[in-house]
Amino acid sequence: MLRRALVALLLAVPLVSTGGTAQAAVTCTAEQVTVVVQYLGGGQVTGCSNGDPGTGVDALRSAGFSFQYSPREPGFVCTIDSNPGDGKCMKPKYWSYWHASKPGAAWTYSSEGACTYNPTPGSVEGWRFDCGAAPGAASRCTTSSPKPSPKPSPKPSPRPAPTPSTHATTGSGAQAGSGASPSTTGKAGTVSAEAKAKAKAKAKANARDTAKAKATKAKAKAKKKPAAAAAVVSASATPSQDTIANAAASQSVPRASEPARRGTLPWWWGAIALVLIGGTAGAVTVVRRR
Amino acid sequence: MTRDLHPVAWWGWAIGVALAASLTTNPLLLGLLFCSVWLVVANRRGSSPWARAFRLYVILGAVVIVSRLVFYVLVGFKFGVHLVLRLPSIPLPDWAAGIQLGGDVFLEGLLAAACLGLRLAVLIIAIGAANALANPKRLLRSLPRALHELGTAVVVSVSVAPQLAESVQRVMRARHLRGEAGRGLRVVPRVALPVLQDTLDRSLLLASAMEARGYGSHTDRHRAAWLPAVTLGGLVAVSLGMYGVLDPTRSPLWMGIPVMSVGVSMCAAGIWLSGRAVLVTTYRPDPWRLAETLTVLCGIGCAAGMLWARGTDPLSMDLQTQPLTAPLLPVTALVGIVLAALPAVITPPPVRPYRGPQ
Repeated sequence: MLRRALVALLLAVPLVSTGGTAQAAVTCTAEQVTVVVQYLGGGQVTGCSNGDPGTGVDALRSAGFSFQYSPREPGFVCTIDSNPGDGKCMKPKYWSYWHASKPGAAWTYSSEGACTYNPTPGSVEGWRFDCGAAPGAASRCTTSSPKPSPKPSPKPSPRPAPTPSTHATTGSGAQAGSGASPSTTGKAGTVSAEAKAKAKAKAKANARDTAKAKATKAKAKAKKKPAAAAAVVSASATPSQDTIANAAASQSVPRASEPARRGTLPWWWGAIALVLIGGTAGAVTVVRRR
Repeated sequence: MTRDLHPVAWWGWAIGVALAASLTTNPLLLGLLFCSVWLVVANRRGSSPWARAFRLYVILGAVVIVSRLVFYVLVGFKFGVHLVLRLPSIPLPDWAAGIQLGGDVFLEGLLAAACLGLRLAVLIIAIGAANALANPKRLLRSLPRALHELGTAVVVSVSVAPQLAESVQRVMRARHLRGEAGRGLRVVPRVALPVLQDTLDRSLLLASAMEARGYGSHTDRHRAAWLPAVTLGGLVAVSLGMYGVLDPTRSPLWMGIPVMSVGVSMCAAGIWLSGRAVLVTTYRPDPWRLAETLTVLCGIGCAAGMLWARGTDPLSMDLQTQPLTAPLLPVTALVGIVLAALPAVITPPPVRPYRGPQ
């Protein structure tokens, strides 16, 4: 964990406040911490923490986001709201962690892990799944990283557009801060493989048309009411992929009550095999010693 | 039929098992891998001194797990919900931000740390198994011919330590028989001189014996001056390529696999060409038969099973701590583990010293 943090720190040095300011469309109270999360597709969601959280991950959790540590590097935040769905969260894209002193201030890359950093009330916490870009800034994933596939990606959303209820309960709604253009361009090729496989060709074509129409509408609206238009874009086009990824990912997360998945056996099979092989090895050792 | 398996086969099998262990933190799989390795060692090790060293590797593995846990409690990142141990946390200055000294210990974090320690322990034990099963001297004999002189030197130096211990024992016994009492540090100067003389005598004897058998005699065959340059260039290319493979985001694309393969082939060509100049025959070479191939295939199969399981269902290969759930058992990984245990029966039993009629 420490090594990972150091690597992140080294990467961070040139990244301090490179574009993007803490645009939080939701205003939290002075005692709360604003948490801005930008998913892979560019969709930005803002939440307010419940009171003054002790650590960055507490702020994330109490603002209504769920997260998972990387199983191999505990303490390294791997997924937020089950994004990315494929669990590849280290190279080259990862959840970068940012601070801003107040809404509208410039982002600063965190020099400390979210598990130990104590955000001050009234400040803004930023999370962005990218190659180290700040929330709202242009993507930094460029050279020699896997090229995004050129297919237009919007899919018909299987559920109603997710204005996350958890965030709504804390007195905020889903908003997009970065405007329409980054979220629409950055979207191509961001869908997880599962999501791609699920969508049918016809649905794709339909979705493409509707999404285009929505995007143009949103752009037209943006001239009059920027904040509202951005919200439309993020709610209609981008997070729908996220929900697909969510659906795929949440199925694969093991739960105690869930029956065993295909290709796996429950743990007591392993215990039996352990006793069998270990017992034989022990018996052979004892016999050989005589 | 009893015979010793080719040492390279054991090493191939052990490297496959070690690779498989490095792919998972699932405690069930790691425990099963350890049991398989233990079974093979228990059933197929010889009676040589290094064969008895397996126990030491197991102890080393246990030390690794315990020290991992101790360091976790001291400086590790504590997460989880099930409180195990309440400890005070020592605040650190800003420049050491991110390091947590002490603090409450939770079950989830403790188990995750133990599983990471277990992974390293199984890796060490797999390599220890290869050491216990394969005769290191015979392994050095199967080096490429270009490295023949190096191999000879290593074999000679490896056999020095046991000979020294034997020499000390002999001198001590002789002193004891003469009735010279005394222990501790005062004896050292009196024992050191005879031991030194014994070692020198033995070295001269070995040197003359080797000379009589033709070691160190040079052929007048021409060895091209540019051959070392080829090997050295290959090594440089391999290290550059390794850098490219390990960090593909920050280095140009040609620096990865292409440079690496060029380097490997340059090294192989250099070693092969300089080997042609060395005229050495091997006395009673180790045969490579079906059992050797099967053993290596078992190691490869074990790693492949784990890789397959990680590709299809990566979550089942790691201990899930959020929330804490019982580990699952991927079927392909289980097949791989059974393959890893197979050399316990498919290989010929090793040659055992004759103990007389029983």
